[in-house]
Amino acid sequence: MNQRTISEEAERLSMRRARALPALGIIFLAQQASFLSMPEHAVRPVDHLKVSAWLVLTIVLLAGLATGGGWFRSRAVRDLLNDESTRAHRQTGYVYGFWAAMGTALGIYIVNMFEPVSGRDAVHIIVTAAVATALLNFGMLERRALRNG
Amino acid sequence: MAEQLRNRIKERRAELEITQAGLAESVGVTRKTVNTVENGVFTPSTILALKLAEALDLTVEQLFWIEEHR
Repeated sequence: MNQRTISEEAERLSMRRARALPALGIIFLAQQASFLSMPEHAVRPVDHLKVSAWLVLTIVLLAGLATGGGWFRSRAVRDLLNDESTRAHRQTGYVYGFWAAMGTALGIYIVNMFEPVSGRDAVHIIVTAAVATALLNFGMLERRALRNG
Repeated sequence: MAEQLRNRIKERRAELEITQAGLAESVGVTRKTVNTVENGVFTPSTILALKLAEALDLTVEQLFWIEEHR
């Protein structure tokens, strides 16, 4: 693959990623409605499936966030997909994700004073808030950078 | 006092008739990165600034400068 083809491929994937990340963040948040509607002590197989689906999606999204995607592309394309501005945008996303986690954790701490929150629920809510915020922020920064080109 | 990094990448590209994509290819980044540096949205690393200056046949000081706002 020559340099022009690599650049065009990276550009195309970069645009696709910028469109997909905010959408994935919103879908990820929306998916939590079904989790919150679960009975408190869920033991049905379908409830285990829901929790497992959330866990798998979280791991996939975290891996996508950390690596920038393009997993099945050549090294050269992946390097371009993770160039300097992308790494800076990801770091900003991490920072926003961290503060979302802190804010959510403090909120849960306060709620727990009045109504007990299970450990699993607390972890679920904090991780969801952090991952969704990081994804949305990273995606929006990428979209903005691609605009007005 | 606020400081902002300014550059003359766009003007120099026009002089040399190089597109953002062409410049991006020659320094090993995406067009998006060149676009954000050119528009002052993103501050490049020293390595990228040196590569951009070399690709545009200027020194870093000729290509970038700091503007101060009161």
